[in-house]
Amino acid sequence: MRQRWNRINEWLDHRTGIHTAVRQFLYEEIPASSGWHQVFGSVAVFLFLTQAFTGVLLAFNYAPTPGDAYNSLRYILTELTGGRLIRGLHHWGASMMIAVVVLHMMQVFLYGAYKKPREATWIVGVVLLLVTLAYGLTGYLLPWDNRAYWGTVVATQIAGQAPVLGSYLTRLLGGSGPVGVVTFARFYGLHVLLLPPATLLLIGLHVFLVRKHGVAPAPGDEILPRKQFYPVQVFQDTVAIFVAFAILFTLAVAVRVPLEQLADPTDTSYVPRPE
Amino acid sequence: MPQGRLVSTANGTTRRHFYVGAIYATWAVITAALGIPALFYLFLPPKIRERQEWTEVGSLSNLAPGAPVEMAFRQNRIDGWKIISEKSTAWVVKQTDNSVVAFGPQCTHLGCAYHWDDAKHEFLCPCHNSVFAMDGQVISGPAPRPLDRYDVKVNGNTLLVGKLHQEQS
Repeated sequence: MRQRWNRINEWLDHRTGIHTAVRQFLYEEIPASSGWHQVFGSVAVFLFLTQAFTGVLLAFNYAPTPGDAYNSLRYILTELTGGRLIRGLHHWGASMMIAVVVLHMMQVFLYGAYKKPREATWIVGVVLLLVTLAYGLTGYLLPWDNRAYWGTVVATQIAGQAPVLGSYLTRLLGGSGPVGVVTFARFYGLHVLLLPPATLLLIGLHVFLVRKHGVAPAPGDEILPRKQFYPVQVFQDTVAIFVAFAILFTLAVAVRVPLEQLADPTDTSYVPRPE
Repeated sequence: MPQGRLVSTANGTTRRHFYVGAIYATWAVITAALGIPALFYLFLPPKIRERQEWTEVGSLSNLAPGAPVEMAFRQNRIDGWKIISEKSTAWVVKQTDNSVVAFGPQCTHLGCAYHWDDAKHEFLCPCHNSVFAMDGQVISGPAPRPLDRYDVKVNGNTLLVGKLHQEQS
């Protein structure tokens, strides 16, 4: 059995070079000072993958039109086994992802890892933060309840106040009229068609740049002997990912994600508040 | 010195095994925690509120015993998050004892619409030549089971149908 497995592995490696690539990735040398403070990037990638996974599951039962979005989401929450958990993971995962990306950036900033020659890595990271925030903006509308509707009304109005670009932004986000089918279609399109491949490309570029310049050493660490990424740093990344996942799973199980009344543009009593 | 190196290597190997084992175990837990609910979500049927709804099909006064008639009616169907009102049909057969049977309109092979062949006195599916007797049993062809039946109820002279059931051969 083991021999057959080895033969399959050899066959695959000979034709794709996959093992060589994985080995190079895992046994890359990193500074001796690397450790627990450098786990946030991996946690952010893990959260992105969890968002993609739960997002695809939600999309299997979600109808992306204002007429059906609310009812299909209610169907996911009340009729489907595990639907509430999947939505909870997606909802809380979105907030956690922003928090973890910010933590990652703080660590990079405090360790001076944005300095020459790593400026491009930092810039790509900032773009990734903006993309993460764009997920939050575009995904907020999709439940099509009062909270989603009025929150998006305020957000698009704020975008319209931007100097010079305001009117263009308003038009880009679905026209100058009230939030409706056009805004919904554009937000959904951005959320599931444009942002995910953009994120994958940016993460790929970000990791490539990190590998090109190497992980930034702590001051005074340059002369110490370097160590391998695998298994100690991978173990630390895995533990951090597990802690993040445990928090996310607990939130998804214990804290019910609200679904308010169906969006009602004529409801004058609703007061949208930032969360 | 060689002994020290040996101890160090042995410790190193043990610690490495711990790291590698912990990495695999942790990812197995995460994969299970995400994968099992996902499988439930995808494969378990929705918790639809079970209730018997009776739909009026039509009058029985024009039915003759032993002469199946296709009757059309509108019924509500739950489709995901929607309740759809749609046109449906049933092949209704009045038996000699005046009891009534209503068959679903689709062949049990691949779902084609079948019809009553008056000359041969049997139901015939034109797609793959499945043939059913008047009581719904398979006579020949690839159909794996008899015709599906509606629950039926007669109210005065009016036929009402409920849920469609599969008949086992």
